[in-house]
Amino acid sequence: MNILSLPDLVIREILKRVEFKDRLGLRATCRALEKLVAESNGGHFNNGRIFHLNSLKANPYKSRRLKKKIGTSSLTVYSTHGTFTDINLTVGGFQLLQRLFSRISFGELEISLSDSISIYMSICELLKKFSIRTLNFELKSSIQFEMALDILKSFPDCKYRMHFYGVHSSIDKFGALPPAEELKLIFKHKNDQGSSGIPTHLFYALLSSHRNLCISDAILNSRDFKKILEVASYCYDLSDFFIEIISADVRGRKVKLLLAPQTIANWLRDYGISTEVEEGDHYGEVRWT
Amino acid sequence: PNVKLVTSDNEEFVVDFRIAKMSVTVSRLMEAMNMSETDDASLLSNSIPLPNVTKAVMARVIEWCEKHKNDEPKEEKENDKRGRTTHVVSDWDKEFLKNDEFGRLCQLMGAANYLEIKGLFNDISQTIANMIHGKKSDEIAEMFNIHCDLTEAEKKEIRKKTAWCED
Repeated sequence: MNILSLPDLVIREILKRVEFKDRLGLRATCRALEKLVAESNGGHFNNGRIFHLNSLKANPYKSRRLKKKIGTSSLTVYSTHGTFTDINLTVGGFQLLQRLFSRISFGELEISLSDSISIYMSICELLKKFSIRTLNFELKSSIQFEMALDILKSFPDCKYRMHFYGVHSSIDKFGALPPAEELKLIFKHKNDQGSSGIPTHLFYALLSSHRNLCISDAILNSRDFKKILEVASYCYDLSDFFIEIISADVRGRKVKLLLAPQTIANWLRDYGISTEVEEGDHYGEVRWT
Repeated sequence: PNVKLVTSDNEEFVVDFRIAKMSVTVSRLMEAMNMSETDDASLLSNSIPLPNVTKAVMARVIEWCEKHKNDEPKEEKENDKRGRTTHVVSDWDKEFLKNDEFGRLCQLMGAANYLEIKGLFNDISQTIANMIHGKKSDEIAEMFNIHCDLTEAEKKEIRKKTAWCED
């Protein structure tokens, strides 16, 4: 009796438990198994990662090792199930990945996009086979932000977290984001402080839409900030303000606002506090001691 | 109370009601035949035909069920360290299955599938997946009695494409 005499349903059940590396071995045994492997469900993974090799810069040893093996034009797809790595973006390599499963599901999938359109297209092609509960994006440019928005449109029921480092544009598009589990916008520091940051109206829109919000720099004046405090309690911790919204919104949530020293200085000036202030001076209810 | 199970080769097995109920297929048949635990007459006068299971395989199935009849129903874990759906095969089950050559394992799995005994089915499918683990394609083909219908050129091409994942 050989394995192919078992009903397809039974073989697929076995294949669900077979690791990716072993799937490669199985598909090379005969045509029938090659087909069954390609049509099988890849199973469920709690976590997965798709990221381009360049994002491995932080880990020079790993980066060197992988680059030596596959060259820089590769897309590395990680799953936490061993490494499901080094998917070469040549046609053959990509087709190979397509032949390892028909569907695969992830609890959380982290995608680190690059600015390359061809890599993006390949990721989209791959994602067609994915079912994902939560998407996590690590973005570093406006192009990547646009790509992430498009991906989110393909997964309307999927929860997501987005971390965008070095934001300096796309500001209007932030309003188009569906409600996120977590949105983190870290602005690129510029010498001219006034040119980066989130305008107040957009800050309020993001505050009401996203469950957890971290913004590195919002353009708020002291009056705007007081408005936030009217619906919030806060505590001061180093340079960060943590604001727990206690309004009618019943969601458990966290808002983290990292303010530039310039903004804080502006607020102080709003209350008439400057280097010339002396003890005993006051501005409205604020007294300088 | 006991239940009579009749295999494809007309062998009769008399098993405890609890063991019979471990098979979803047998449970459904008993229900269809109005056989209940409290009605001895219905159990004595009826037998359950199982035309897809042979005597030898049935004996193995019953041995497994005897061992697991008091088990709590358990769910498959999806949170192992690699995030993969896994089924942990207990030491007893490993021992139980280790001497089965692959052909017999397939027969047992076919029976577990037909009888709908999930625990046994999961044990065997995980055991087979474990057998595949780390093996090269020709070793898998030999273990599973698979005749390779790929040409040398096709094999070479596959090896070339899969070279990236070799250690």
